[in-house]
Amino acid sequence: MDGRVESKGSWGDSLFDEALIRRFEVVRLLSRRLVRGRMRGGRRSFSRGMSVEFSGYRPFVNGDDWRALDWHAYARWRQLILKLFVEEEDLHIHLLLDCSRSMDWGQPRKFDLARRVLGGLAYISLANLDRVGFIPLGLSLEKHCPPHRGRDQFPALLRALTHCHADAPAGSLSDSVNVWLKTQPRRGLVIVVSDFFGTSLEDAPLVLQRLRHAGQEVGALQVVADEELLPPDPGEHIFEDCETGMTRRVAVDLKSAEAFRERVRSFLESTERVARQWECAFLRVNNHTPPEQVLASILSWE
Amino acid sequence: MSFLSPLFWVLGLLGLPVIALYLTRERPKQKTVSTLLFWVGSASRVSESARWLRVRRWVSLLLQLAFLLFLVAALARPVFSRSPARPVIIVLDTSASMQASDVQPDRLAAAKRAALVLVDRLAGGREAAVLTTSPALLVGWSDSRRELREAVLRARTATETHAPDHALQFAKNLALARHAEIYFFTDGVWDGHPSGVSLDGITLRLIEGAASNAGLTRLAARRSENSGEIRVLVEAGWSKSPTLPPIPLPRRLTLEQDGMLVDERDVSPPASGLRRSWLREWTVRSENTTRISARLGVPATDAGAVGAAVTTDAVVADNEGQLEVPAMERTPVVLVSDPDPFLEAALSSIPDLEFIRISPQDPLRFGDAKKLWIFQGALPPPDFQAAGLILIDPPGDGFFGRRIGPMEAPWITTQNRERGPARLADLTREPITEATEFQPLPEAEVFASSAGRPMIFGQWEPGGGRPRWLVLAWRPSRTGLVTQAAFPLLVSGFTQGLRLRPDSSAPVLARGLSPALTALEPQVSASQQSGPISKNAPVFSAWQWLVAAGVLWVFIEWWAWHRRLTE
Repeated sequence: MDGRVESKGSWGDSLFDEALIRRFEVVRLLSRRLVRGRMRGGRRSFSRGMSVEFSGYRPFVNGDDWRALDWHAYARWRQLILKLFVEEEDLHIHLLLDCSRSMDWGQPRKFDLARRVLGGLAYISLANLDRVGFIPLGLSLEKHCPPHRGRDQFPALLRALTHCHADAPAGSLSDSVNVWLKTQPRRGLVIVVSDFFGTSLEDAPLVLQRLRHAGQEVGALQVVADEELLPPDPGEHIFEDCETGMTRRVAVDLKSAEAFRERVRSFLESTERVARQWECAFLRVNNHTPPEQVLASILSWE
Repeated sequence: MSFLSPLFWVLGLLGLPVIALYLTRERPKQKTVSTLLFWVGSASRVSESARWLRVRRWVSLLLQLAFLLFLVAALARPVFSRSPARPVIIVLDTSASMQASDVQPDRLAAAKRAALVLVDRLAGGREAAVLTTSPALLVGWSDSRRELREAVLRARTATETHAPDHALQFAKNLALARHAEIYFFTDGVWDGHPSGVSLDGITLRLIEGAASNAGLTRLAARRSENSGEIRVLVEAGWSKSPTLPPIPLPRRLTLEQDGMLVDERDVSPPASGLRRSWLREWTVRSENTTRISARLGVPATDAGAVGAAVTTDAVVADNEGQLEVPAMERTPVVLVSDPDPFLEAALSSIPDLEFIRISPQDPLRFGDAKKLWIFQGALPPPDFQAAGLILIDPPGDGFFGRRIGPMEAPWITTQNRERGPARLADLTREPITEATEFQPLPEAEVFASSAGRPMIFGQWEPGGGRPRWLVLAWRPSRTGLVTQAAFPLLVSGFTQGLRLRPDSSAPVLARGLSPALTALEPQVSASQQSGPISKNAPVFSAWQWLVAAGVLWVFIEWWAWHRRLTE
């Protein structure tokens, strides 16, 4: 049972069935060979603390733990010298899921793939003794799952993922991220899963920018559906935005279809470019990609 | 302006579905999308140009309707003519030579094609009539091109050749009243030049072809009047086009009577020359209806070359002929006499007679006037009616004369003894005993009588008709051998003179055979035709292709515009 997470019971639907959990385990075992030494549970922390690895000395000040005094040094120099050790700290992994209605799109739904991928990441992270939190962007703070450590947290995370729905009220994605950042989360690894269809084309860069400014390491997973990237059949259409309910009358012809393709291409390229610019790991998948394949790709991030 | 095909205006109704499709296109399709980010520019474009879009839509609709209007007008084939259109008379040569296959599939089909082109080019309301040289009027004055086309397609080749005189004369008479134009579609091969009718004023449309042909030109039979003999005459002929190789094979003539082979012999075609004929006569026997057939085929030894023979033989129909010779007619004879073996045997020996004997005591019925009555030892009743009458040894007086008494003078005159059949017999050995001399009545018309009048041949008119009668004032059974032998000849001659039956000796000709068939070269030159028509004149002309392309364009344009593929 080394690092293996027990998955108990059912979580309401077939989103996380036993077969998927077994595939997560396969990915976890595979990840140990692929990313050995990179996503270990124990990580050095900037803060000094109790451990077996010596870091250095400093003068003792009030409030320091007297247990760390170097009595040999005191015997020699009659000064209170405090021994410093590197404190090992587990990694905080924040799983951000875009719960806007645009994620409830495609067949299979983008939201389902996103939840499965996050479930897999949670499984692997908890197995690696990391602290994992789940933040459904756009929903109320009560539905946030703060970071917890321990393999027994996995069922609770799965339940949260299962009961999460893509029904967030219309709003900016960057604003939702901003709301979460105001809770002052610990620095760590933020994995944001979204289609990055915000209220404007500038929403996606803003999300990554704010996360980086908050000192987080960011991994961005963009989930898109093939059918939403292709123009519809020619003719006159009235398109209704599933998030805002706004409608637009559009005449689809060769030119407008080509303009649509150009805008989509530009959007995808700019999202990827901004992610590179802000040193964010980036991966784009479509809704037909198997979750374990997405997980393997995420685990291969440098 | 008139239209050649006004019915195509019905296609104008296609405008209704076009308009309906435009109206139904007004409703845009509702669709929910995950984001409108990518449609921002396009949406503004539509909203800003909605008015122009509406105008452009209706302009496009009007343009398409206009195009449809022109398209239908083109299909209706407008004709712009200032001079009044003259009616047209189409004369199709349907003689047997039009079966020649040197023009595919045959000359008549080529003539029909050419005539149909003419029909298609007739302006709307222009009347036409279609004749064949049979002659037959296939359709009278009509401006319905459907009727005219059907009439042209209805024409069939005749089974025999004929001259077009009657049809052309009829066409000219028909054309006089209306100043009609006459178009004569022919291969120029006629059974005699239409000398009786001038070709002036007739537009010849010559179906040009070059053909060699071998076939029967005549099959005739003639029955003998008094016997069962039938003489059969067969004539075969060859004709060769100067531009074609000669017919290479000998031909075998097979003559059959009622399916039984009568004769078979080889008939070699000429080594050179453009025309040659071959004639032979056979004699067959049959008193009944008989079928004579002659067939000119390829000998079995050359069966492998049949294909080549067929290809050089332009008209296959004349390779075989059939005729039916009717049965020999017999004159019905009623013998009213007591039993007389000689008389009955003599009548039985005459092949064209069919007699029955009744007793003088039996009641007589004269229902059929087409009979010869022979009374021996008896007199006909007063109301007697018949076509002919022979009275042998009449027992009393009558219309034929008054009994004078036994004949004493010789009944053969010196002149008759020296001339005629009587000179061949020794009449001194031919005593006619018990002969009676008669004196004809004044009202009886006597054609001939013997000396002493034991034999009177005359005619009278008792009941309106004028039957002929013959009185033999002696009994043949009581005469010598020569007279007895001459008696059947006398009766047979008398019967023939009565003409009680149709002449079965008239010649019978097989239909469909004519010397003209072997002369497949036209009797008129191509330069005489006023407007040559190609053998393969296209019926589907270029404008029809253009119309088809236009229809395709309309639908493609509509589809593309409707799908917003074009602006």
